[in-house]
Amino acid sequence: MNSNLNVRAFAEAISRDKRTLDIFRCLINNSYIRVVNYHNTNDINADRFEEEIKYFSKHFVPVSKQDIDTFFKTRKWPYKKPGLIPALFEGYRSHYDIMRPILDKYNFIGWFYIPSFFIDVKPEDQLDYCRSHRLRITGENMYPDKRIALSWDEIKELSKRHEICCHTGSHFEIARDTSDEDMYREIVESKLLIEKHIQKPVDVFCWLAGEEYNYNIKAHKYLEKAGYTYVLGNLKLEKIK
Amino acid sequence: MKTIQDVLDSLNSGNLEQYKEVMEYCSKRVTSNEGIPTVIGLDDLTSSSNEAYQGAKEEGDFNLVMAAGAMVFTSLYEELSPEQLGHYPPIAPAMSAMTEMFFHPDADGNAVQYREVVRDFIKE
Amino acid sequence: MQQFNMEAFLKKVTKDKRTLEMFRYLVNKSYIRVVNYHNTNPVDAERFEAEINYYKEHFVPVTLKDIDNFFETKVWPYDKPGLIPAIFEGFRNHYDIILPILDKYEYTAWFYIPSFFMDVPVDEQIPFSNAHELTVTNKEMYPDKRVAMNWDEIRDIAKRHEICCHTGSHFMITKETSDEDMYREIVEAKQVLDRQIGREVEVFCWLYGEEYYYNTRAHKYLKEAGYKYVVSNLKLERIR
Repeated sequence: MNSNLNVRAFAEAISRDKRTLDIFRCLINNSYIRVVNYHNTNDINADRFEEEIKYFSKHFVPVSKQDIDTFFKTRKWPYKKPGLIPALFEGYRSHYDIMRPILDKYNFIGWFYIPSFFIDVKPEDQLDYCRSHRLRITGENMYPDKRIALSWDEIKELSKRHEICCHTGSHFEIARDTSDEDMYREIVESKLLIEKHIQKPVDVFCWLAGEEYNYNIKAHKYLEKAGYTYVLGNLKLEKIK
Repeated sequence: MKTIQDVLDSLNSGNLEQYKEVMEYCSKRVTSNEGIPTVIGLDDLTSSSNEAYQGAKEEGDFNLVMAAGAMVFTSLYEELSPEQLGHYPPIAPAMSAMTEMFFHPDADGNAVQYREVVRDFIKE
Repeated sequence: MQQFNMEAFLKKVTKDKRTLEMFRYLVNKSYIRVVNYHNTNPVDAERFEAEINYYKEHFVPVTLKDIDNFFETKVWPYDKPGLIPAIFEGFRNHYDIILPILDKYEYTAWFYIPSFFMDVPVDEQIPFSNAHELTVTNKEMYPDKRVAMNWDEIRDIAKRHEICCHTGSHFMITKETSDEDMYREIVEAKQVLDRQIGREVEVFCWLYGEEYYYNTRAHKYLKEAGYKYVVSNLKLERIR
């Protein structure tokens, strides 16, 4: 064997962090799904987004939450083409104006991760809110009326053909030492707020900085109380009930 | 690259340049404005059954290529310092780089790089 | 000879998430050798002596403190690797047969005790062991029918060895186990041991060794009881 592959160093490198081999396992076992993450979807990039979604619609199938339910249940992907999820983070207004028409044109399903308290911030305060809550907005000048977050009407409209997921309430990083009060607000109340507006259950919770479910044992009771089925970290979508 | 053997052969021939080039490209992407591809694992914590899943027909054995690719990228990101990695474990950028390089198989089974999807929009 | 099939091999080793996890522990050097014992009957005493003698020569004994340090520093400080003789079920023959051997070679063992077993009246111990999957292989060994260790014996062992809790009544805790049963088998089981040996027991061991994260409902009881480690058949997990 050629000396360029140092098997020992390779084995050590992939074994250092437990998440590495866990993902290796998911890939070999076919238990994975492709995701393309979007944050800002500004008008100047609209052509590029259209090119992407068009490409996805040709080579992949859209993925509804029901498809994921079925995949977990039957362990069999029923379509010829693999699935791909465009994931839209942070509840920006540009998702509705720019991305939604493209998704709808190509019949592709987006998964929208909404920090739900952002939606209730007054338009004139939204930019400040973004800056203080690590929402890296880049399209702040797109709208003269200063509203850069989606409105509840827009989210309700999106929920008809797309998946709405909870991304905490205030784009809050839940740590192991986060207080009970903060956990309740960011995990449970945030979900109830979305459900009140869209009149549908929200089954997916997404952390910030994507740790896995078992990293934060303290959060389990709130995730359970809220009634989520799935938790999304940056490496895995975990079914918890 | 079509098969896991191709990935292993590329390692044996010491040809890590193409992986490093992809890492370089990934580091220059504007994550707040662009679509950033990745693959996430699906883990059923409610079941301890060990039955494997069946993927899409068109996927073939491409999952094995991705698995090997993810391990190669992990071993390369592992060489970076914690400061360079931010607070992420090496597998996180590795999954992103792997999906960039091995986005999906084309009709002949060859890996399509994500860059090809948006080639008209890449600014040099 | 059959040719090695890489794809089939990978599919096999990734089927169960615990397989690759064990691979990781091995590559990372975060593991310890264990030899499990259940009954230690007189007929096997010579064999046990040969074993302990062998361990003494090729390994170092492992105290709970060594494990604390290993987790803390991530460095095994001895030239020889460690090996733990793990002695399960609290049988009386442990005290009479294997304990003198361990003590002769000054070798530390870890005793996993189902703590309610000790308080079962002597003439009910054999029926109790039959009903609780405590397999006694030499029921005739003691004419007085006491097959469990008594507390004096366990207190004596505790002076030189590690005492760990193996539930109260050798009870299999599942995801469906009631709160009441969990409390009794995890928390009360430890309280009995703590009180009897006069120090804190830090290790809990399940039956059939599921891992810590499998049973999230048990977490609050393990925490309330104050355990530091959970042992299953693949892992020793530090939980605080």
